[in-house]
Amino acid sequence: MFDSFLDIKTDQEEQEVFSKEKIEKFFTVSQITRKIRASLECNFSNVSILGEISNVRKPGSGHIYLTLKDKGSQLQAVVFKNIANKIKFELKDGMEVISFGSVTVYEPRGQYQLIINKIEPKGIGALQLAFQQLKEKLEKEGLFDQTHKKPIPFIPKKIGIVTSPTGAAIKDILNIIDRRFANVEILIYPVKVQGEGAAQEIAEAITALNALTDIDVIIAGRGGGSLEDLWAFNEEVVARSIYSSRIPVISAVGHEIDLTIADLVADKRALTPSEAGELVVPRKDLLLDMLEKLNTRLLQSLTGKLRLSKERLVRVANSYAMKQPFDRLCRWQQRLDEFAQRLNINITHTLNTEREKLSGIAGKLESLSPLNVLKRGYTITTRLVDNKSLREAKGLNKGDKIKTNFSKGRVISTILSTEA
Amino acid sequence: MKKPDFETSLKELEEIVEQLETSDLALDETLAKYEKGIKIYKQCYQILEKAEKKINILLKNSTGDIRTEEFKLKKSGDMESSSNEK
Repeated sequence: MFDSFLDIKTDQEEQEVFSKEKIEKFFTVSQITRKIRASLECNFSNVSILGEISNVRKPGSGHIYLTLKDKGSQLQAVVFKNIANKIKFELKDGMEVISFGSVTVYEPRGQYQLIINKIEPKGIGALQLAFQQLKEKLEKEGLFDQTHKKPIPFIPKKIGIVTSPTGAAIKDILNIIDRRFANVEILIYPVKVQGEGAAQEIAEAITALNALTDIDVIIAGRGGGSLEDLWAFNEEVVARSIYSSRIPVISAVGHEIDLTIADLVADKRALTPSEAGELVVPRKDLLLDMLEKLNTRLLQSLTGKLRLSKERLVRVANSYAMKQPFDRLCRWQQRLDEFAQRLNINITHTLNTEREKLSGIAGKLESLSPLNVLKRGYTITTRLVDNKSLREAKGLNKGDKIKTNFSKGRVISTILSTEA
Repeated sequence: MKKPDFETSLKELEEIVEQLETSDLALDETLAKYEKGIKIYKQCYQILEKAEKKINILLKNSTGDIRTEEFKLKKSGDMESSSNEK
C-alpha cells in the first residue's frame, strides 16, 4: 500500500502537484505520455481529415496501418480489424481519402496516431469505388472473359433458383416460366439477398447446387433496391462462386440500370428477374406449333412422292410391261407389297388410304399382266430365231419361222405369205 | 450415346422435310427419310412433354439436414409484408 502510494499518484494528485508548482517533483515517462494522450484525445476526437494514403500495411492481425499525408505533413493512422472488415473498397497508396476518427497516443512508442472509424474515398462513393476496384481486379483475372461463358441449355431439365423465397424476384421468375414452359422442374435454394452474410449465403447456394447432379441451369438474383441492398451481388465471394460453377448461371439482379459484378461474371445476364424467366425456358407453344407444321409437311411430301411413284409405275406398266418377261412384273409387285407392308407398320392410321390406292394399282398391274391377256384369247408371237416379240408383219418374210404363245401351250409355224 | 438435344433434332427434321420437298429421291430413300423424320418428330415431342411441373424449395433444419418441400408462392399481400428486399 505504501509503495504504491509513494510511486504512483493518481491524476488528481498529479494535477495538484502540477498546480502547486512543486518543481522538485517530476513526471515519469508514462505519466507525461498519459497526460499528452489525454490532452490530444480531448482536443482531437471525432475529426475529419483529408489526406493521401501512403505506406499501407496489412499484417495478419487484420488491422490496417497507413500514413496519411499531404505536401507538408504526415500522420500515422490505424484502422482496427472490426472497422477494416466493413470497408468495402481496398485502401491503396496514392488514394485521396477523407478519414473520420480520433487522435490518440500509442503509449509504448510515444507516437500519436489517428484511429480511423470510417474512411471514404474523396469525390466518389465508397461502394462505387469498391465496385470499380473489384471489377478491375476480376477483369484482369479473366473472370468476365466471353470464352469462359457457358451456353444456357435450350430446354433445361431442372432449374436451380438462388434467391429469397419471399421476395419479388421469385414471384416474377416463376410466373414467367409458368407462362412459357410450365412443365419444368425447379428447385429453389432460399438465401438472404441483402445484409450481413447474404453474399456468403448466395455463394454457398451456388456451390451447393453444383454438387447436385440434375440441375442444368441456375438463376441467381433478387428484385430491385438501392446500391446497398444489391451489394451482396457485388461481393467477390459471389463472383468467384459463379465463375467456378460448372452449371451455367443466369444473373437476375434488380433492374436494367443495376449492373453488378455478378452480372459481369454470369454466363448470361438477365436485366430483370422476369427476363431470367424468359431466358431460361423457350415458349413451348411456339415449339409445338413448329413441330406440328414440320410433321404435316413431312406427311405431305411423302404422299406427294408416293403419288408420283405410282404414276410412274402406271406409265411403266402401260408402256412395255407387256413386252417384258413376266418375272420383271412380279418383282414390281413384290416391291409394292413390301412398301405397303412397311407403310402399314409405320404409319398405319395416316396412310391406310394410300395403301389402298397402292393395292388398287397392283390390281391394275395384275390385269395388265400378259398371262391375263392371253387368257382373254390373245396370243403373243415371237420370231423363232431371236425370240423377239412381234407387233407387226413388217420385217417378216415368207419361210420365216415364228412362235405363237397361247394361254396354254404354243405352236411354231412357217410363214406362207405376208401382208404388210 | 447421348440423345441429341431439341434444337439439333428440330434442325435435322427441318432438313429432312426440305429434302423430301425439293430433291428427287428414289422411293426407297424417300421412305427411309420419312421414317427417320417421324422418329425425330416423336423424340422432339417427347422432349417437350415428358417433364412434369415440379417446384420444390430446399429446407435446412437446425442440425443442417437438407430436405425439399413443395414450394407455394405466398399471396402477394403477405409477400410485401414479409419481403426482405424492401
